[in-house]
Amino acid sequence: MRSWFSILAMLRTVIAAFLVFGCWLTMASGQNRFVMEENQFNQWLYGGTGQAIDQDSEVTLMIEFVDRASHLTNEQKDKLRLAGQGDYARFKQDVDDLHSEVVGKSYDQNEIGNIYQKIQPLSTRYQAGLLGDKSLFSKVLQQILTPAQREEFEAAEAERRKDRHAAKIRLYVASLERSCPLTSVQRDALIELLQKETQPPLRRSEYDMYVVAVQVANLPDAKLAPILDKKQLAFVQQNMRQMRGMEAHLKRIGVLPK
Amino acid sequence: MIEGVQLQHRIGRRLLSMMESILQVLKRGAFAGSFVVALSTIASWSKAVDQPAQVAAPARPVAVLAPAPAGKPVARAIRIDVSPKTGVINGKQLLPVLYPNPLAFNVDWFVINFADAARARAQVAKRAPVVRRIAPRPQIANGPNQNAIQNQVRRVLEPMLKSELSFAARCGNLNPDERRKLVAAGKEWFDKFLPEYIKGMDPNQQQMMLQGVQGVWFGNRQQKTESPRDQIQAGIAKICQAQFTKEQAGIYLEERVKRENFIRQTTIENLVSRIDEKLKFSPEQCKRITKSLNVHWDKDQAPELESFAINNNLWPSVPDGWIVPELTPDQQAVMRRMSATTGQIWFGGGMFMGMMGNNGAVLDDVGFDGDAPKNEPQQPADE
Repeated sequence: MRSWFSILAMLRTVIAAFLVFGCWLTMASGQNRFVMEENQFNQWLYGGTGQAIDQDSEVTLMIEFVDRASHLTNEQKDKLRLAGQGDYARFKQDVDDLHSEVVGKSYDQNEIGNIYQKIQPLSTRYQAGLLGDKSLFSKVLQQILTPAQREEFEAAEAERRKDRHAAKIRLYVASLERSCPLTSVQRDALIELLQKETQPPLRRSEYDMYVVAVQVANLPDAKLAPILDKKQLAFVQQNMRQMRGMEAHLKRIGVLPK
Repeated sequence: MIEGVQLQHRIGRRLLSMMESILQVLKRGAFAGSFVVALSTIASWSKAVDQPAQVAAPARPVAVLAPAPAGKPVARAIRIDVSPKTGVINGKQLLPVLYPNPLAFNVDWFVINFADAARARAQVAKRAPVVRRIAPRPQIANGPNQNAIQNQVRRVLEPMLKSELSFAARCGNLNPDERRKLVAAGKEWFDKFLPEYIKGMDPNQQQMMLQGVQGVWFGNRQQKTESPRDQIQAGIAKICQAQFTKEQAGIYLEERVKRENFIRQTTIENLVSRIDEKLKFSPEQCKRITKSLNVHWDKDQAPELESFAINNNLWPSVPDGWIVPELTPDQQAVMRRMSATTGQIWFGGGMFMGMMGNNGAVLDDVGFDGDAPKNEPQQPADE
């Protein structure tokens, strides 16, 4: 009896030892694994806050924006709302597909880059705006506006582009001043010259300031010479030579005005 | 054959007994560990005031003894005895427990009271060796790399100094001798400013500079950190105050104010424009928000100009109170989801135009790098 009890106790100890060893093995191998969690996925997809999109608010903002310029009818608003919801539904479908593919699974540390590359296109699409030029919303908008409404809308858009361009001109001059100091007289004259001689970009993009810089690069020296002194002009010319190289790229992506 | 069987039987019994003794050792080790844990738990609960022991004490009034003063020699060694006064039975006690109970099996339990525990602690403390405490020497962050950090920070901040000297010389309309004097004084001031600035830098920022980063984040609205550009401009302003005539100093001050106003207006316009991309302001909203930003403007909380150029997906943030009251509920809902930066960022001098293809060069028309400014081309390309 005593020997049976001892054998059982011995077996118990051996089993416990195996369990402990197994846990240690699992922990050791798990240290190099990365688990894609919901929060991490949202962080990579939506950026800083990691919060998902507020479809209703964003569609409402766009419709109100168009309505301010074009005075839409209720029917037009309904169609636009439906189109906007369609754009968001398509995006959400793509997000859900990717979500089911990657979330909740563990990956080797070396695979993190691959996962991020899968998420990045969706993130770029979200950051650029889901109701942009290539969206269903824009296509429906072009179809439902009357000619008068379209004219009003384009005039409002042109005004917004002009204000944005003015801000970018001032940003360009401010950035120039970090490296090539200007007096207040020179600064005001340069801003006035650029507002007269440069055009807003054809569409909004991350290259808005480069559009200004490339147009400055194409200005004849005779226009800059009255504003800048010799050394400043030489400095700006050096910068202009570099910026001419960007012209082809900006034309290719369709932002540089003619 | 029978002897072989008997031999196997003897070997088997020995193996069994060896295993039994190993098991016993393991059990006693576990029990000893439990006992130590129990004792230490009791010791941590006890205080310097006498309290009646918790184990199997009959209900009698307990005399509260005064706590033993620290450092006072203990009158007697600790003994675990029966104490007739308190009625607590010290020493071994039979505990009725179920068998087998791993907490009681092969374990000796002693009942002690808290006064004894306190006296024991005092005794131990008195006998503890005196530990000589030496004040720790202040550690210089990144000590061995200080030279390299200083060189790197100098490389990043010197263009700002050069730019500001050029601005001051231009405003004061200085002749070559006056420029040389200004540059010399500026360099002297900068040599003193740089080590002090580095001392105030966060060690992580120092490390970032060492690795070639040409800009750092600073401030998170709770920290009031002055940008290096502002400090350099303030330093040069003091030099100009000393060296310029009254008229020159007046013009320089006026130009500085105009520059400051221009940067503020540019920042506000670009901030409104950036947020408008997402929130679609009406023209009236634009005006109200611009006015609100002008009224509430605080340089310590405003985004730096460079933040409008580094990342178009990152929104420069301002305190919510500056903008949110002017927004509709839908705009507020969208704004809450925008990934905004916090804090401020400054870039090394020349880097902003470096993004425009200038290789980080800064105009040198004051002879900062010697008599011949290095960034002046020998011959313009269109001549």
